[in-house]
Amino acid sequence: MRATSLLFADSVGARVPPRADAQVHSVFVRACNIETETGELVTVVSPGSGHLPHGIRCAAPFARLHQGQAASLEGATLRIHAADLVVDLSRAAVWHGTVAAASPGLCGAEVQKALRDHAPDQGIAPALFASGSPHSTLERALNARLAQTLPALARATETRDADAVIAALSALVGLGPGLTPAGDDFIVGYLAALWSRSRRDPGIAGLLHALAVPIGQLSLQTNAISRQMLRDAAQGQFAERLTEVVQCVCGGGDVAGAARRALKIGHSSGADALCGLQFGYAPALTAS
Amino acid sequence: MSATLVRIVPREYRDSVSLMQLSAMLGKLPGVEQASAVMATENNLALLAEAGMRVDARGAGASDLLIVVQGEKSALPAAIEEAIRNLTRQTEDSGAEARAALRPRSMQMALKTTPDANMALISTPGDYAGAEAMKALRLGLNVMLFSNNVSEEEELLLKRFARDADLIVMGPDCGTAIVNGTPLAFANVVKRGPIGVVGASGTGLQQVTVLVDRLGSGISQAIGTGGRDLHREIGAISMLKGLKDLAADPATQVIVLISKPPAPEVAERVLAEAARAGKPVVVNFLGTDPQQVGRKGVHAVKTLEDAARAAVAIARGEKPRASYAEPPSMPSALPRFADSQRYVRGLYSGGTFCYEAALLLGELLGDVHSNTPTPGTTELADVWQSRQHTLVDLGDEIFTRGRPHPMIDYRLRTERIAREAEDPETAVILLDVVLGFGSHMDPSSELVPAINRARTAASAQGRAIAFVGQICGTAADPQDFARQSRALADAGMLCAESNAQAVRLAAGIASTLTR
Repeated sequence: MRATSLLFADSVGARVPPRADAQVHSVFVRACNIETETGELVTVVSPGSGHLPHGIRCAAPFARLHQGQAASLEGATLRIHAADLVVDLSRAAVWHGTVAAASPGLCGAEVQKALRDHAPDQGIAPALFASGSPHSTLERALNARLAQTLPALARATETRDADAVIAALSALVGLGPGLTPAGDDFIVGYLAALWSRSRRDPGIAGLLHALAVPIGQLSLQTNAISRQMLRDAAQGQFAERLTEVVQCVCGGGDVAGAARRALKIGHSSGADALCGLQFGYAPALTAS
Repeated sequence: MSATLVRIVPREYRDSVSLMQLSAMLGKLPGVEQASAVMATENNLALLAEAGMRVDARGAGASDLLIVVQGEKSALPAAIEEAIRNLTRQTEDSGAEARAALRPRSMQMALKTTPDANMALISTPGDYAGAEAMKALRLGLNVMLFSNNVSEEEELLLKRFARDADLIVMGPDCGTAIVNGTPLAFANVVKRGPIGVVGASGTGLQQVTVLVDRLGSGISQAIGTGGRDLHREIGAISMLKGLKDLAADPATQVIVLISKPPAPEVAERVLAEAARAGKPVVVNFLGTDPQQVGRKGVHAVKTLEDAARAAVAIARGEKPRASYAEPPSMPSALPRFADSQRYVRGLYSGGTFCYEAALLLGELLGDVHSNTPTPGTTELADVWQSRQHTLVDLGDEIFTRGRPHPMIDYRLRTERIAREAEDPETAVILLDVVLGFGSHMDPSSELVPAINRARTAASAQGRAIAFVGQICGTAADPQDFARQSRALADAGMLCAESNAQAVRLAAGIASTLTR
């Protein structure tokens, strides 16, 4: 007898398409990505993980999944046929990854402190906070690139110059270590801060509007996993771990605790995103 | 002079930690000065050039992995080979096979690609589930019907059709089964063995299969029938079919039947067939008197735990005991309860656990209110408000409308824990924690903070609360049973072996309080 495993998702991202033919794109110990025919990437994560805008959270047997297996999304059900896996989405809560509104003048100093105390010595944090000398010529090159790019990005952000912002971001996209390169994580955090500021700053809202399409084009310069993240971010949709930090920064919660949880994402991905977040709240301050 | 060697690994996705570890490992190899494993994006290629590592990566794209090593020329090929060895679990073969496979869009198509399949699992909205189940039956497939909201009339129609075709309909609303060792829907990972179970109760099946596993034995098959199967109108069609199949199954030595109280004439029919099964049958019809149920070849028991223990004893050639109930092992030190604290508050995710608890607690303490009332207990007037001893099935439809089941989503329970802790009459909070496929992957991460908050809130008002629970799970379940048990025990929860033992322990603690 062939038996199909029926699982139940406990959350489904608001940006997960309701219907799509797809295939397994990549598989990890506690997650996998499903790529639709239109190039969207749906990430299936285990319940210990945070919610994602393009994510489905369930206890999938990831070890049974392999790159290239056919999948489909239809009728509130995700099927991965070759793995005999059916995930029922009908009872899942829908995750809307929007960020809380920041008050004017907020500088994210507590995020900076958490990064100084807890960020790994790789990725963007060491360059941004001059914590330790570079270990390799590659790290030196990364630091040099950031030293050149971030002040330009800060100026462009403060003057709401969308073209200049895109020029700076094009030097960061796909840059650095990690499955989702550090530069991509940084951009996601930066955009989270801008979305948070945009709720009370029409100038930032206008900037984000102007950035949406170019960021979509920019995302073609990185891999599919980062691309989906960047596209969601351009639409104001973020992972739960990042929205938690924003919520605490804006609402007076436990910023350090939320930041520590975010820092656990990947090796340096969480830290890189928090660097971007802190930069987005106070570009001039952080870039100096 | 330093040389550089590059390897492009197409469409290779490794998590960031693995990439970092790979880079670090390569950097420590003899003769290697520096190494990097990065995605081959344009910016990373430029960055490598800026770092003095000019690499020829023609043809590489942003989704490819780039492995670069720099150092003594003679050492680099070995380093690259070491990197490739490190990238284990290549999946291209199975991926290509899957891409080549035709994707079935109907049961007929599925049968063409897997002609040996003999069972369909159906989970659609209730309005369509009956029709889909009938399609499957007409194709000669057994059916596990997970969907609920299928009418009793439709259930009868499906089950009669199945009976005439020598097939089985497991369900509707069948949430648990283990077929040929594969857990389906909400089920635990148990050892295979000589005990077959047929149950009209999801968590009842989970409790018995889990305890059988823990007692060192195993499960041949666990067949769910749906909760209405032993109603008068349905007549136990699926339980009788399951019983017949297990009687004929050479891998099954002992059969266990589980249900809430059946209609009397249905119970009689099932018991008559059980007595003719030719194998020992253990019966647990919750809420019925074992003495009235038992007969030659049929060993009747009062609790789910007793069903598991009796079945394992019989499978080992031992004589089963009439009851395995023992006085609870009381903790050496109890919390310092305030005078106002008197009552047990049971917050259940499993309906059958709640029902069994109501039966036992009603006998042991009295004054029990529940939304799954039993003979001897009172229906809870307001399910949101506890009264005296209260046992709430939080999986009841009134709680789950528009939100996931409490076995998946603990919010409802953690909120209720907080509310019970605020009540000066609450002395003991009784919980079930269900592990296995389908359930929350880390229940302790939800319960431990809730327990701690409840304790703090009660303490601020000069009270202490005892937490008692049972974890329905096995060592092989995906949630890591040992870690869950440790976390909950560390948080001060008194963890019992079974639901029945947890109830007796809660009752034991409550009975020490001044009334």
